[in-house]
Parts: sequence; structure tokens; C-alpha cells
Amino acid sequence: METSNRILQKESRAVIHSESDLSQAFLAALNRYPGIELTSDSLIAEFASKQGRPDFVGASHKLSRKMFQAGCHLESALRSGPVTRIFSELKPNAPRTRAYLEQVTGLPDSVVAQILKNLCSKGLIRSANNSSYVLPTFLTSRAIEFWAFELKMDNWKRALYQALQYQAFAHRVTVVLSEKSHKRVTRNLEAFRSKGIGVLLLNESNGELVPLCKARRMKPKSALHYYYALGRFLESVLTK
Amino acid sequence: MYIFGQHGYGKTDKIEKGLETGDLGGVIFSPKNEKPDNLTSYIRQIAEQFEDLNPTLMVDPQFYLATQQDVKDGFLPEYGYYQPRLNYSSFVRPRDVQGYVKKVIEFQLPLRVNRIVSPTVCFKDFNDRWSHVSLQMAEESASALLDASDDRPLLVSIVIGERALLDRQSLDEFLDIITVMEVGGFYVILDIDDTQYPGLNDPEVLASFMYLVYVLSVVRGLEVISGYSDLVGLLLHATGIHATGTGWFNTLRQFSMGRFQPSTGGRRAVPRYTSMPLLNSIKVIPELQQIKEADLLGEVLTGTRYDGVLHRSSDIGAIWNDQTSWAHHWQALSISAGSIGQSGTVEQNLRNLLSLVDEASVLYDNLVTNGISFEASTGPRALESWKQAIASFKKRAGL
Repeated sequence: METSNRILQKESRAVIHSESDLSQAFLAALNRYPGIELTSDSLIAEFASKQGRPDFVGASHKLSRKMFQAGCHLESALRSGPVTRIFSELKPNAPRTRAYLEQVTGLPDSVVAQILKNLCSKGLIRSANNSSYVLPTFLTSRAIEFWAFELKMDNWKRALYQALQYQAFAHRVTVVLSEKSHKRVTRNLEAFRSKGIGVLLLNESNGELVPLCKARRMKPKSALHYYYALGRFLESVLTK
Repeated sequence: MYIFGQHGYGKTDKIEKGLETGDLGGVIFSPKNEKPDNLTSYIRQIAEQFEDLNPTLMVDPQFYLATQQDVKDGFLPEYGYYQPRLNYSSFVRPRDVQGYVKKVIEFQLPLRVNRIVSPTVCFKDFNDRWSHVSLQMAEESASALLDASDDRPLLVSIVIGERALLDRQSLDEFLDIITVMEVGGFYVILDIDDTQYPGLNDPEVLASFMYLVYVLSVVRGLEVISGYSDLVGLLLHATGIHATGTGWFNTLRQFSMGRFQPSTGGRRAVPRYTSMPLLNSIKVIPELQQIKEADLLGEVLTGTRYDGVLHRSSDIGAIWNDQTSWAHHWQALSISAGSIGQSGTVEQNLRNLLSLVDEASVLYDNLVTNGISFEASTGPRALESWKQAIASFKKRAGL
């Protein structure tokens, strides 16, 4: 029994010499970790957000049928900077007029008119009355909630900085560090906690994730960054 | 105390807007980015449109790219004066050098520019053979312009690798030579090693750069314009420079030969906010975002006509786009250059600048205490370099 326990422990042990090792170990540990409702096969690696490339990004909801149906149109629409800009100004309950959208985006009225017409024809926005527009509810920032993960061996400061960038589009951001950085991170944990950023350590001896603080669920700080990420996410999912 | 627009790729109407608002006092045109006919007509259009404002209009011939191997030289090969892939043996015969210079000067004569700029080659060491070629080309340019009987001032181009400025004695000897040239002024470009923005941080390099500008502009009384100087240009405005150039992309804000090499790819630069209270260009996300959330936005705003939008929207990632960013950057530099250089004496200019640096240090401390995270390049690291550079310059200049 002792021998098999020791064998089991050896098999669970994670050997972390590099960020690549850390990534592998994190993915293996994630499936066993009850604190995060994502599985490793649902994550996208090296995700191209508008600012920075989180090591992993996942979505906490499955794509709704409506989102799936709108997926191709939405993904190609959100490749365009002006379209994403207009999306970021629309709400589900507060209609925006064309004049308002021209004023806040600074886009020419012909461009705004064309974009609105295209988006309406594809069912990606709704016309509330003749000259104002709303987002359908399946497209608000609650429709898909993103998790972003940044992995670092021990550079906690850099991890914190990058995590702050990802809060622009993600609802929850977590930093994953190797346990070697335990003392340093613990001394500076308040920097993460005060910003709502989660911290997990990868325990090398048993390959498990150890939570130091939980990621706080927050609204993405930039609608523009969120919709850009949504477009990239749909591109990954639909081309799989 | 002017800011000049450094022309480059993707100009749209940026230069016109910069001149209209008064944020730009001149333009440094780039043949690399326009076909010859287009450049000629663009210069004419700007000259006519802004005749009342009388901006300085000059062309950087970019002949220094001719001696680089495997270089991205854009439309330059379409210009009659430009010959790619020249090596040292192409400059051994004096009549070859005269030929290159004459073609560059003659190219500029019919243009609606009000400065003529000499061709040059880049050198990394004052004692290497390329620095001698550079001096030769400077002398030949003065003769060529005299022969052309053109009254417009000649600006002698100098493109120096940053490490060369660490050799103080050689810099002094070089200055001894060029300060006696009968020319209108100098157009100086520093080739920096680090292609990341902002890249120039060595206090001794900065001090030598300030010293070079001081000797040429204040001691010698010549017009000195520095290309691609961006924020570092504020140090030069304190030491008497006439104008500093900067563009809209990071690659147009600082000069590195590395940017002309073929690249394997890259990422789009992130939007920045140039905060004069911080004397730095910080990232909108996450830095300015954090500052706004901490209710400290007012502490870092520069006071340009673009700042208002930052108060009106919580999604500053959406409203502060590239367009706003570069326009604000130009106005920010213009306001600051004016306030640093307005005193009339270099000593007072330096006192103005040092007080801004001290205030920026205190502000950074306050922001960090309030939990704001900065990167190395957007944090207070540069301020210490600037302080050291100012102290070193003052000692050298006997101020």
C-alpha cells in the first residue's frame, strides 16, 4: 500500500523548469480543480486579445443557439474596427440614435449608416424605432463570460501587470505561478486582491492548484475590448 | 521651440491637422514613403495651404539608408539621387562623393521647401571611416549649394549611433570641426540601439546629446533640428534646440536602423496617453484605466483639447483611439516644449525641466502608493536618467 501510494505521489508530481512545463501542469491540474468551472480542452492558448496575449482564455458558458447561429456573421463583423466600435456603444435597453453613434465614434455618417444597415440585415442588432438601435440580449457582455489566465514562473509583478490588461475584456482574471514564488507572492497578495485578480500556485509535489486568492467576477472594463475578444473567440470556436 | 511632424507611412491628413491646430511648426518629409511625383506635389500642397503660417518644410533625403544592406527603403530607389547597397569603396573617390551630394541637393532645389538638407551616412564611432565620409559630404553640400546660388539655409545632416556619444573626447573633436562650417544649421538624428518604445535611457548618452545641441545652437548660434526625438526632445528644448521631430507611430517617434530591416512580423502598438505631469507616454489600458478608477485622473492629464473625452466615458479603451492618441501627443509635446524653453536662458530652462521631473517623481510615488501598476518603460525609471543627464550636462557645459 505504501509503495503504491509513493508511486501515485510520484506520478502526480509536476516537474516545473519552464513556463511550458507550468502550462502543461496547469492544464492537467485544472480538470481536477473545483474552483474553476472550465476544463482544459475548452481553453484557447495564446489568445490574441486587443491588448496582450493571455496564456489561456476560456468561456464559462457554452455558446447559446442564437450565438452559434449568429456566430459566422458576428465573427466576420467584429474583425472590423469601426463595427466593433459601434457595437461597444450599443446597449440592450437604451436605444442609441444614429446621430449619437456618429458623434461618439467620430465615424462619418455614411460609414455609420452602412454599418447599421448591415448589422440589422444580419440580425446582429435591432432597430428600436426608425432611427435608434439596440443590442439583442444574446449579445451583451453577459452572453459569454471570459476567464483569462496568465502563467509565470515567478515574475509576479509582470503577471499582475498583464492580468490588469486582460481585465479590459475578461470577467475573471487569474494568475498562475509556480510554488517557488510562494513567499514573494504572499507578501504582495493584497496587490492582486485589491484589483480582483485571482492567484493560484502550482504545487510541484502533487501537481495540484493551490488558491491564494479568488478572482473576483467583474464586468469587462472596455466594451470595445470585450467585443474584439468575442470576435476572436468565435473565430477559434467556429474553425475548430 | 517647435515640434515638427515626422512624415511617414499612413499620413492621411495628420500633418494638415497638426499644422492647422498650430501643434506643428514644420514638417520633415520622408521620400521613402512617397513616390517622387507624389512627394513633390504633397510638399507643394502643404506649402500653398499653409503659406500664411510659414511652417518650416524640409526633406530628409535618407541617403543614410544607401549604405545599409537588406534594408526596407520603400520608394527611395525611384529617386534619381539614391543608390542602394553602397559600401565604403563607393565613397573613396572624392568625385563620387561630390556626385552623390550634387544629386541630393539638386533634387531639393525645385521643391517648395525652405531648408535644404545635406545627405549623410550613419556612423557609430567618431573615429570610424564613416564619420569621415559624413564630414566630407557635409563640406561638399556647402559647396554644392553655393554653386547653385540658392539662398535657402543648408542643414547638415548627422546620423550618429548612440554609443558614439559616450566618447566625450571624440565628440568634442567632432564639434570642433563642424562648428566652423559655414552652414545654416544641423539636422541631427540619433540612431538608438533599443527598438522598443521609449528606447533611449542612458543618462550619459542623453547628456552628450544635450551638449551637442547646446554647442551648436547656443554657443555657435545655429539652427538645430533633431529628427525622431519625441519625449527626449524635451531635454533638447531645454538646451536650445530649434525644433524636434516626432511622428504618429512609435517607429516615427524614435530612430533605429533596426526598423529598416525586414521584419518577421510584429504587433500593433497599443494606444497611449502622453501625460506631461508624468513626463511619459503611459498605456491607456491598463495604466490610465487604473488611474481613472482610483479617481486620480486629474493628476495625470496634460491639458490638451482631447482630454475632455476621458472624463465623459468609462470605456476609455474605446474612446481613446490611435487618432486621438497621436493628435494629443503632438499638442502635449508642443505645450511642454514651449513651457520648458520659454525662459530664454539654458540655466532657467533646465531649472524649469528639473522641477517638472521632481513633480513627476512625486506623482509616480503617489500613484504607486495608490496601487497603480506600471511597466518598466512607463514607470519612473526614465526620470532618474533625466536627472542624471541634466546634472552631467551642466557640469560639462560649465553651467
